[in-house]
Amino acid sequence: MSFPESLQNTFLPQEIQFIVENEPIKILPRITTRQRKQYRQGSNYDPDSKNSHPIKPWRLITTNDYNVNNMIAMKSTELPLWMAVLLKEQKKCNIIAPNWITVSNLDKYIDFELKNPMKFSSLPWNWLVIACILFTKAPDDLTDPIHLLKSRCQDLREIRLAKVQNGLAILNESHLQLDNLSLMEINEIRPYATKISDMFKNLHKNTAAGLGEDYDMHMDTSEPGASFNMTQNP
Amino acid sequence: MSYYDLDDILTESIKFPCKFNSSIAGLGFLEGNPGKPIAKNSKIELPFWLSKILAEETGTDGIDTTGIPQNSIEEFKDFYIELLQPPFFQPRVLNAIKAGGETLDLHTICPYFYFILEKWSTIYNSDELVDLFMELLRKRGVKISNYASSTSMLQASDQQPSKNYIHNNSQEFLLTLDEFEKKLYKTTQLSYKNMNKWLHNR
Repeated sequence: MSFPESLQNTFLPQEIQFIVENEPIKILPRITTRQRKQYRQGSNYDPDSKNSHPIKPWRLITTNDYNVNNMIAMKSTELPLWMAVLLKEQKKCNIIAPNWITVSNLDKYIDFELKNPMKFSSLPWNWLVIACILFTKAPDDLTDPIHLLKSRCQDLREIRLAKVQNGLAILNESHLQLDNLSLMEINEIRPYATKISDMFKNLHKNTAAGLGEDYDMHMDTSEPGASFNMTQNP
Repeated sequence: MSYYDLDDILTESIKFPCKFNSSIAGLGFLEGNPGKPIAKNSKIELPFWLSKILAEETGTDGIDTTGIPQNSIEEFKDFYIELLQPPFFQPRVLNAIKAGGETLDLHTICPYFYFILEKWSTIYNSDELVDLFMELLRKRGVKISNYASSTSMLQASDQQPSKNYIHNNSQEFLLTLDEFEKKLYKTTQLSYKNMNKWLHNR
């Protein structure tokens, strides 16, 4: 690919948002898309013949049409987030915010983060994106005042960011554990972590520990007589 | 690193001090004596791609030595050259790293510090040296990441060079990075910048 290196190795935040927008979310539609029974079953409707039925039933075009074409006003259903946001912008539904976006629940997460300096709280893998989308697109659907939620999320992000920064100081050549870190947060540090781990790996592979099992094989090749000694004076 | 990697090529062209173990006819031009043989024990600097091979080859490699007088074999059975300690791995530098590598001006010492260590350590297995450098990179990496994420730097990278103090300070910091660290800094900063843009432009 002729993509620049920065786009090959990692996602843009916008791409992460795109991925997350495909996740289902609960909504409360204000419109009904379910057709009357005879249309939906299509018993006396044949699209190929022109005069079988005078009225063609309208349908929304989707690949998985069950939820989209079966919305009943004020009856909760699940839709992909991007669809929900689209309907929300047209005032055709209310988004039911996930139950972790409340002041009391976010406070619990913040508490956990503060009490466990070596762990991340178990927020959903897409919390940052969901929170950002809901704050901008559906602020009136959230149960608590938005400025309180926003400040909680900002706190969470900063606490976790500080932990990530601390974690970078103990990065090594073999592994990196990132439990409960969300996709967006991992994506942010990915270029740094992969690049520096690669260098660690390259440097480490020539040490005795790095050579490991094939140590003997490498030692068989003719070695120059001099061995390098750090205290040696030239 | 790949065949076409510019950094790889530039790394291999770094000169290493070497000592010749035998006198070789016709190589005098290397030390400014064209037409003369190069003397045994003379010290010259050769690029790494050349010295690496000469340090691993002996004069008798691949030659049928039967029938050649023993004393003339003696002279050539050593490796052609012996690699001496390069200036950037001298104790002076290593002590400076131990004392506080974060503020060290690596670029002046050697612009391809980590790459050359990687190549050096394939010849001379030196765990102690590698460990020291990994610790150095770890410490400097944190600093690089911090600089890359600081908002003033993110703004500065968008604007024309200005005369404010922070900007000058960061420029100075960038000059001390070696080529690998510079790349690391650039990709890290780009990632943080994209993230910031996404968070604030919505």
